Amino acid sequence: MKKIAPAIALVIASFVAIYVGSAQIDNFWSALFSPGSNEILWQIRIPRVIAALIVGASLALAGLMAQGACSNALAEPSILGTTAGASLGTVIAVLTGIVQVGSVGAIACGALGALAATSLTFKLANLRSQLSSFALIIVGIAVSASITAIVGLVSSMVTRADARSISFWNFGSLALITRDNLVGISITALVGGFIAWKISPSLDRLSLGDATAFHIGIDVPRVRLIALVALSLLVGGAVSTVGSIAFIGLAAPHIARFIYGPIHRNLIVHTAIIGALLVVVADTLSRSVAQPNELPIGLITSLLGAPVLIALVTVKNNVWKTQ
Amino acid sequence: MITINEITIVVDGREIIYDYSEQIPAGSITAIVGPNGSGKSTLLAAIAGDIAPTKGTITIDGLHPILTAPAQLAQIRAVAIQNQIYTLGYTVKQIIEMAGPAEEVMRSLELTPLADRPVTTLSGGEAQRVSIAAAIAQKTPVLFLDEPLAAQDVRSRKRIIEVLKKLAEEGVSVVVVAHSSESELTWADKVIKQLL
Amino acid sequence: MLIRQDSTTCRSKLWHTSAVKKIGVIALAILLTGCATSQISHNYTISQDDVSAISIDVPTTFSVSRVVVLANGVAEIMNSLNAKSLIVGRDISSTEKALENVPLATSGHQVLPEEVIALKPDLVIIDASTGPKAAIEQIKSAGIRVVQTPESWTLADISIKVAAVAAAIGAPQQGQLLNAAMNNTIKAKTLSGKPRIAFLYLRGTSSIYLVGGAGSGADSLISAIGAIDVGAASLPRPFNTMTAESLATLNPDLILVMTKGLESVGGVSGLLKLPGVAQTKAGKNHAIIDVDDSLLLSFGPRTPSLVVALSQKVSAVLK
Repeated sequence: MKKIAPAIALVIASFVAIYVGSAQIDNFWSALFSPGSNEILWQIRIPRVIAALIVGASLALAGLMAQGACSNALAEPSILGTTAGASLGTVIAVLTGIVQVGSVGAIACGALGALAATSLTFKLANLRSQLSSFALIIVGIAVSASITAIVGLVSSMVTRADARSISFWNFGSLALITRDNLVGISITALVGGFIAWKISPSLDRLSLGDATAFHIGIDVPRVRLIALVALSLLVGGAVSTVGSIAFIGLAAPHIARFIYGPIHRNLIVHTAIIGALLVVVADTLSRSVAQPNELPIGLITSLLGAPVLIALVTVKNNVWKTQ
Repeated sequence: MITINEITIVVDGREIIYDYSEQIPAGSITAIVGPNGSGKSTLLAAIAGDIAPTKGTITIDGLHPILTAPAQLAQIRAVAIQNQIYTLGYTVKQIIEMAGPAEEVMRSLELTPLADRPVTTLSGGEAQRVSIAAAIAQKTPVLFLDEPLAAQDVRSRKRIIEVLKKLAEEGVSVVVVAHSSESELTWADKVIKQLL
Repeated sequence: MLIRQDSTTCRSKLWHTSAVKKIGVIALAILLTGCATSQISHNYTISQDDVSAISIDVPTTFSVSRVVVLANGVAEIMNSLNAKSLIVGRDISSTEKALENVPLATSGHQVLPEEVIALKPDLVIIDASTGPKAAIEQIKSAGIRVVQTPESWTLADISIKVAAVAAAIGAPQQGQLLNAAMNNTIKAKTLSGKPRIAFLYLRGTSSIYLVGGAGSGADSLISAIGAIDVGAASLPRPFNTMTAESLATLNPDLILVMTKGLESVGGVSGLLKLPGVAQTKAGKNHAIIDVDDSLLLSFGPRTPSLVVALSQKVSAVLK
């Protein structure tokens, strides 16, 4: 029962999300079953909920890739600098006028920025088995903080009409989602998810340590690079479209591992489901708690995620030995 | 057959191994012994293809490990390192299956009762046996084991030695790093000591 | 020493693989797909040239001869009262071309008492926002007459302000004439039906999008032309956060914005991309009117002309 709970919760949460909103939808159920009938439902609310699902799944899978590639419980895209890099890549591209926020071009720039920043973190931390968790986290926080500061500076200089505010980049927002955005983030989610699926068995082996993984036939740098590429695509797509949403990449894989065990192939689908669930719930809360205002979704996920982080340290579990 | 030809290995400016040559035949158990810091693990790493000698060459059945791709190399040699740490709670069976078929080797190393236990819950000795089992499961013609008996009790030690002997009979080159004194190494066909 | 399998680090392998190069090429190709969009043409703008200030040409005598104007919009009113020649000093908000040569008595928005006193005025006109208060006190203690006039935030406030300014310069009848002329002009507005209009305050560069509610100022303009301000009808505060669903629910027939605000979201095409806008009647019909920023919410002698121009434009847009 515990094992299908997240999937059921996801279906329920999605329906609640579509039902709840500042606008009253007349004849909700008939409107729901005739596509395109109610504009607010079909052009605003449903695209937004779908975006929440896709972004949640993407960020969760990205976290899984980060933790797998670094063999580190605390790895997640924002600690590694990936999220900040994606924001910077997008903001610079928008500043120079090449792309529009949310377009496929912006996603590409976000993914490149993500890849560059994460590579920088790895390079500086000089990753060495599990012994340099310390170095990885310290360097990652430093890289992340520096890039975030630059994003803040740059976005205060941007005068392009569709540029987003600092609050958008730091806390995320699904308020500006339109149907066109869904194409781009679906592609990155599917491609990133596919790559993650393919390297799952290698990630299992990576957890044995770089030396042992090599001994059983894994090309460790290559697997890490592929994981980074998947990570960058997933984060690039999500962040360049909705800004950075905290904690999903950290919490979702841990929750999934707690319920379903460590085998990465199993975890792909379940991590995605849990990530989607967390973001959909957070977005619904952000829209309904202080109507008609919207709270930044990143604040809510931080509030939800902090207990998870604490539980990670205190609750005894045999799935991941934290050192 | 492992051929080591006049190798010198320098690590961090220190000469660990100097102008060393050796031949290790197939179907035998070779023990490398010596005090701590005498370069045993370094030699093992060099033969396994983890590090390259500063001078000289090493070949395993004619292949240079240092030039061989990981996947191909894994079909030729398997390694059980000294301090394998498991951070994720895969079961014993899942861990061994990452390297090769698990049933037989679990039986021979008396790991079957532990098959579904998460490796993170095992004692040091049990975990070491799992890492040895995984290396054996790889079914390679060459097998390297770094201090396989260190954390084992008397019964497990006997078991492991029996398994290694059987493998040697089947034609595997078994190379073991140990630091017990010479008198306890009766199970080895050849003993290499004091490399520097 | 050669480390073949850099198994303890992963840095050097990353940049030199062909995989990274391939990614770069693909990314560049995708970049080019995200380029600029076409602009939708739009000529429903009301600029400063479309309005004129009502003024009175009847000659008159004033009780003062040297006036320093430190209040928003007062210079404009004095101009309409035929009293422009009295102005010897101004503040930064009096931007009329006609007053270009009149010296500034402020630094930014701060009044400089020495400058004011040096101009030897017999009247200084201030309002509630003039400051710093200490500077005003200094001017008073120099023996100069200081009169505070009310600010105008709605249409109804204009006549009160005009009357106060006229009284201060000793020409109350002139003030009455101006008020009457303005009221007459407003009557010339034409608008059929009661269109539903929403006023949006936009600052695209900071992602600030607000819907005008009761007391925004735009609401009095909108009711002056005979239309309904949908924001004022249902939203509590003068300015309310705009969400996609709230705007779509309001569903105005026409959207009113400021010109610079419209630019800041990328023009009409940019505005239509904001979630919620495209779902409104206004969005679907591209019924968007932008008014010059300095014109829309500053209530003064140009406002009656603005009311007429706005009612005409609204009729044209909604035809």
